[in-house]
Amino acid sequence: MVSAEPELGFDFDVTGPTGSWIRHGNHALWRATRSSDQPPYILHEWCERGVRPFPTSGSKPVFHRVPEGTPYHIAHLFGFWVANDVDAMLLTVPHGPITHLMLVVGGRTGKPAEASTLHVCPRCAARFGEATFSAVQSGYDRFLDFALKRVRAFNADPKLRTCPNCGAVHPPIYGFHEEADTPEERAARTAG
Amino acid sequence: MMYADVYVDEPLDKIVDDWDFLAEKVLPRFMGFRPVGDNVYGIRQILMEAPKTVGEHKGTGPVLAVKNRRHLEIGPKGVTVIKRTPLVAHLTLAGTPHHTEFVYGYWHINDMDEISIDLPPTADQPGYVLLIQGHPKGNEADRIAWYCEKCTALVYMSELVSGTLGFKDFWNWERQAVREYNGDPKRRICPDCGHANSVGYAAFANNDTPEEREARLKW
Repeated sequence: MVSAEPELGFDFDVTGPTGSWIRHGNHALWRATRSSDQPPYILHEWCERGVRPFPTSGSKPVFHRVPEGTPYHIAHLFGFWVANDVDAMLLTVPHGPITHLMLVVGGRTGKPAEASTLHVCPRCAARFGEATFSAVQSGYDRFLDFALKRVRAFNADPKLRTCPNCGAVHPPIYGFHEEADTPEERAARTAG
Repeated sequence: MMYADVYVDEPLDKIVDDWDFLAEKVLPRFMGFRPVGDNVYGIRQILMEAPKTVGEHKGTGPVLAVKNRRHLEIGPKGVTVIKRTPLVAHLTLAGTPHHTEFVYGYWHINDMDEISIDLPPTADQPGYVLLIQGHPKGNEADRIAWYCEKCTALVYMSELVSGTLGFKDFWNWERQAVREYNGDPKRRICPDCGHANSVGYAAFANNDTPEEREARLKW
């Protein structure tokens, strides 16, 4: 049904089932629930000196901002690295044996508009293989479809996985949505 | 872990000062609203109390809030009560007038979307309210308005072009707008129905006049 009435606001239940991204106005949002028998997500940020791990599990809520342009990766959630054209925020809330997570990307009018995927060498921390998707406004999931195609090409070609700086061969990686995993991607996701 | 060999070998707190906005030493910086990067953040620890003492607390500790305060928005159908449930984020989209009873005595209208989420208390600490709003740019603005209590007609409005002027002037502007509105009873008369509306009050109770204090307990 088409409504002429403007949308004033809406609710986003962080405790709801893991699902697709929602894009409304200035922000794109995603949620997940992680149980204690699953390996905890670990947020990594790239910097000139290497990789910084940020804990996302524990007894207290944590709210972390990833600045625009900073490459980040969340182990067990997505195996590639992302750099957004706007800030990202990760909220983790432990609640008994489970942890709720909310990932938010946005804050500026018209963004996120572009997002890049890249890789970081696990031996020397060099960045390589960066590619930008410029149609994020059509939906964050479309960017993740783009990322999955790149994941599959990366896993299929050892040349793409070879670090241009030190020559180490990057292990296989995985996309964002676990249900789309191939057996190789599932093994990589489990390994983190 | 794949990247363990390239981890930066220093404690996080040494290399990233405020990596967790909810950390005890970081949280007081967000008691008002603080722009950081592409968003403006407000974070408060919340203790519940009865309406008669609300707003008396000063300093950077937990904010005392009325348990049954209502969150309201105005749309084409008039005033709507927004149910707030812990761990359910509410997004107030740009342009929607919104007001929280006993917390701020006006309707805020933002050109940017706002995300509000209540984090429940635990056994050893109070809950939080986490507010995230987009960072205005260019001509994007914040507005404070009063709508008629009887017929929801616009009674008075003030605008801060926060996208150009920055967020640093927000609280001074907010208090000034409240004082302007309260300063002349004619400004509070509804142009449509003639109703004499209540006075407004600012978000921070420290400088309340007696009449603002009274209004804070009322709406």
